[in-house]
Amino acid sequence: MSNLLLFQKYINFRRIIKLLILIIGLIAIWNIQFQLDINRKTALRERLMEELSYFPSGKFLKPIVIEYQSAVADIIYLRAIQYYAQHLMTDRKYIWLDHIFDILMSLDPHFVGAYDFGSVILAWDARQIDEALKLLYLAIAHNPTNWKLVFDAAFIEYMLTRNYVSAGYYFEIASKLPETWTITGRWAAFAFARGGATELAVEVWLSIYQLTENRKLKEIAIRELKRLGFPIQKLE
Amino acid sequence: MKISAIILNTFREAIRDKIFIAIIIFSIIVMGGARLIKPLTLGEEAKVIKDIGLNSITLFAVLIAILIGGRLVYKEIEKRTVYLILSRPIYRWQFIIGKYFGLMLVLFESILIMTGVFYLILLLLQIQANFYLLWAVILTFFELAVVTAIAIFFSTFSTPITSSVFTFALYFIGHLTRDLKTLAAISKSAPTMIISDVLYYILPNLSNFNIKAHVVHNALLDYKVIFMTIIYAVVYSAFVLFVSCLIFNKKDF
Repeated sequence: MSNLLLFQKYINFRRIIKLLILIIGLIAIWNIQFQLDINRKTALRERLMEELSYFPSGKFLKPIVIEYQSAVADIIYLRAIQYYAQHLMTDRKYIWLDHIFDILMSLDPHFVGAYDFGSVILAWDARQIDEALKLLYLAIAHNPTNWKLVFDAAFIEYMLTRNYVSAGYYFEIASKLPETWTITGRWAAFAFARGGATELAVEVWLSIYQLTENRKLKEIAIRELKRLGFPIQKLE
Repeated sequence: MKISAIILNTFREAIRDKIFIAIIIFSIIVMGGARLIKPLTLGEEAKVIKDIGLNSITLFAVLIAILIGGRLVYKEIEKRTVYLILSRPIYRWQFIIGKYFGLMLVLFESILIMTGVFYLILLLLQIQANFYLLWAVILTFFELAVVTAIAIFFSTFSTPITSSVFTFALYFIGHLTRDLKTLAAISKSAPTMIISDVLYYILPNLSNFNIKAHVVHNALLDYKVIFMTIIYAVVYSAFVLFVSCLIFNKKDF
C-alpha cells in the first residue's frame, strides 16, 4: 500500500492523462490538416495564389491596413514572387500579375524594386506589354527621378514594341536622371537613328560630343555623326 | 514628487504585467523572423526587413498602449486601491497624469528595447542601418502619446474591454481622417461638409505620424512638418488628459 502511495506521489496519473490528452489533441489537429491538404484538389501554394484574386483593389485595401501599408506591400510583393515562380515552372500563365502590381502601387508607390521586377516579368514572361508599360508610367509618375523605371520603359519600347523613337525619348530622359548609366545617352541616339529620327539622333550625339571629356566617347560620337550624314567640319 | 511616485508605481506594475513582457518577446521574435524572409525578397531584403522592423515596433507598442492603457484607471477602481491613493494628499489630476506618464515610460522602454533589437538585426544582416530610420520611431512614440491619452480617457469611465475596443476604433479612424477632409472637399451638401470638417479637426489625425515608408525609401523629410506633428501630439494628448481629469474629478468615490 505504501509503495503504491509512493508511486502515486512521484507519478501523478492526472497529470499524465492531461499530458496525453494534449499530445493526442495536437496529433489529431496535425493529422486532420494533413488529410485536408491531401484531399484538397489544389495545393497549398496554389490556394495562397487564389487568395490574391479575392484581394480587393489597392484603393480599398489601403484604408483597411491603415499605417501598415508598407509591410502589407512587402507581403504582397513576396506573394507576387511566389506566384511568378510557380507559374514560370508550370503553365506560364500570369493572370493575376497586373492585379497584384496594381495593389502594390496603391500601397507603396515608391517600391521601385517591385515595379522594376513587375514590369520585366509582365513584359517578357507574361507578354502583357501594355500592362507593363502602364505599371511603369504609374511608377514613373510617383518616382520621377528614378532612372531605372524610365530605362525599363525605354527597353520595352525598343525590344518589344519596336517603337524606336519612343524608346529614344525614354533613354534620353533616363540619361539625364541622377545615378544613371552613362551608356543610356548613347542608346537614345541609337534608338532615334534606328527609328528614322535622324535629326534627333544627331542632336543627341552632338550633345554627347560637346559634354563629354572622354576622348574615346568623342571618337564614337564623331563616327556616328558621320554615319548619320552630319558634316563633321561644323564641329570645329 | 507625488506624481513621480505614481509614475514609478505604474511603471513597476506594467513591468510585472505578463502582457507587456509577452508583447516585447513576440515583437523580438517577429523582427528576428524577418531574417528568414531574406532569401525570398529578390534583392529587396533591406526594404522588406526595415519595413517589418518599423511596423512591428509600431504594432506591438500600440498593442501595449491599448491593452495596458485601457485598464489602467479602471483596475485601480475595481480593486479599490484608488481609495487608498486618493485618501492621501493627492489631487485626482495628479493620479491621471501619473498614470499617463507611467505608461509612457513603459512605452519608451519597450520602444527602446525593440529599436535596439531592430538595429542589431540590421547590423547582423549587414543592412545599412542609418539614423534616418529613427525619425519614424520618434514619431511612433508621439503617436503613442496620443493613443495612450485616448486609452486613459476611456479607462476613466468604461471597463477595460470596452475602453480597449473604443481606443482601437479611434486609432483605426485616426488613420482615415484624411478621407473626411476629401469628403468635405467633394461634397455638395453643406451639412456633410461642415460635419466632415468638424470631425476631421476633432478626431486624432494619426496619419500625420506615419513616415515609415518615407524613411525606408530615404525620401526627403520636411523637418518643419515633423516638428509641428510633435507639437500636435503634445497639445492633443494634453487636451485629452484634461478632459479625462475633468471626468475623473466628477466620479464619486
